[in-house]
Amino acid sequence: MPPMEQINQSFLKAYDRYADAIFRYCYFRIGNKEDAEELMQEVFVKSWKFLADGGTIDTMQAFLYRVARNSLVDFVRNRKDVASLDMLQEGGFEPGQDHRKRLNNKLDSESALSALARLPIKDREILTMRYLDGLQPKEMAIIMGLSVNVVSVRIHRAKKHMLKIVQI
Amino acid sequence: MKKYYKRLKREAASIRLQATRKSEIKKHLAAFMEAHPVRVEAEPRQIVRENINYLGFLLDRMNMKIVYTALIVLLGGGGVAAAAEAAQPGDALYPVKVHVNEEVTSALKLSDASRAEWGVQRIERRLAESEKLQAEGKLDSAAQDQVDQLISAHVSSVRSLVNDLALAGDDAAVESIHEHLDGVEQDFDDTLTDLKLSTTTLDVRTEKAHAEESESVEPATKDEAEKGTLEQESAKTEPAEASETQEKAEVPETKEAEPTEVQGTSKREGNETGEATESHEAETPEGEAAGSLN
Repeated sequence: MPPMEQINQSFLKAYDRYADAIFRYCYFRIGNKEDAEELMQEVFVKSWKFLADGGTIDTMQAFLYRVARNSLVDFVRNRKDVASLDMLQEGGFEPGQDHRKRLNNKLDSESALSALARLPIKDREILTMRYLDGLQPKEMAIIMGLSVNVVSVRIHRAKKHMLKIVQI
Repeated sequence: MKKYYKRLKREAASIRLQATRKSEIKKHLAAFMEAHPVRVEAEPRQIVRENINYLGFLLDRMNMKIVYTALIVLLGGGGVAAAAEAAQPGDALYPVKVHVNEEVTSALKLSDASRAEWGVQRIERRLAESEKLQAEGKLDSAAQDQVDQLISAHVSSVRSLVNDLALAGDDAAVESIHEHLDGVEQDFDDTLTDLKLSTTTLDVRTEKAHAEESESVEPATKDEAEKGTLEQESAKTEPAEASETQEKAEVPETKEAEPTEVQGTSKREGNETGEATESHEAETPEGEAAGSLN
């Protein structure tokens, strides 16, 4: 059936396009590649199920992020210790080296990602979406179910936190 | 700081799925999608339903008329609507036919009487569609369910309209609706059986009508009740008129019997108003039996 084929194709296209971003989004929240991969797969499976049951999706990107967010909440609930810094490092979350001595040099040498890893989850999520995935505050508001205003305030706060860490 | 974000972005871009993992997961996903295909026709149905509910929540009937008229105009002078008119249960445009076209028509009716009349016509349309499907051998259980649901929705809307009409004292309209429905029942007797619907499904009588109906449907009990009062009455009158001829004695008896009957009836009504529904339910299997016999 052509219309069905069309839906299949566009969904697989969406996978090609957003799989990395969703993976990254999960990875920065839970800090473990295997879990992040699994979650990412779950996100697409869940979204497909929603479509197959007759649901309609307006904006694929926002929808996928929203599903990812909910899946992460479930995941974190089942594993409360997730995303503490220790946990992140144990799980291999060492995107860059973290030599404290050289942090005084601020930005010029160290990994920007290691600073991100030290942020609270909330800020990390905000900054990941805003700067790594390049989402607009408006899109983030849809995904997070918040108003654009609240999102902007949170971005501002997260940036301030980040600034503190980077400038220590 | 800007420099930092630039860098963050650059570094983050290096964190990605391994290409092999990505395509592996894609294969899993494709397999899953194959196993759980999208039901294509489900989509328009849901959209339409949601819209209707949403509008129904926000707007009263007057506003609905405006909205529906605008909707028709927006739909390109009713191109879709016209195309939907020929749709049958299971078709993609069928929801447009029953949830848009027919709702529009309903909203444009000016009186409750004409709206109820249109409701009966909708029931008739559903049955005609089923008849056609049955003739083509396409009346599967999905189509049957769809039609069943729609019919019961139509019936309940007609019922509430008939109730309103009865309360407003428009007996002529109520009667004409009943007549029309009886006609529909007879015309589509076979189809009703095909749909496994009993004739009582199309029952839109008001509670009052039920109560009255149950009186006449149970002649045995009524006779007994009458007999009882008559006997009592004659027991009272007989001693005084014992010497009179039989013929004469009968005359006042029958005369008096009438008011007594009314008395007895109203007594029964008093007893029965509470049980009106119950007695009708008791009556249902009979109706069903009659339906299937026909």
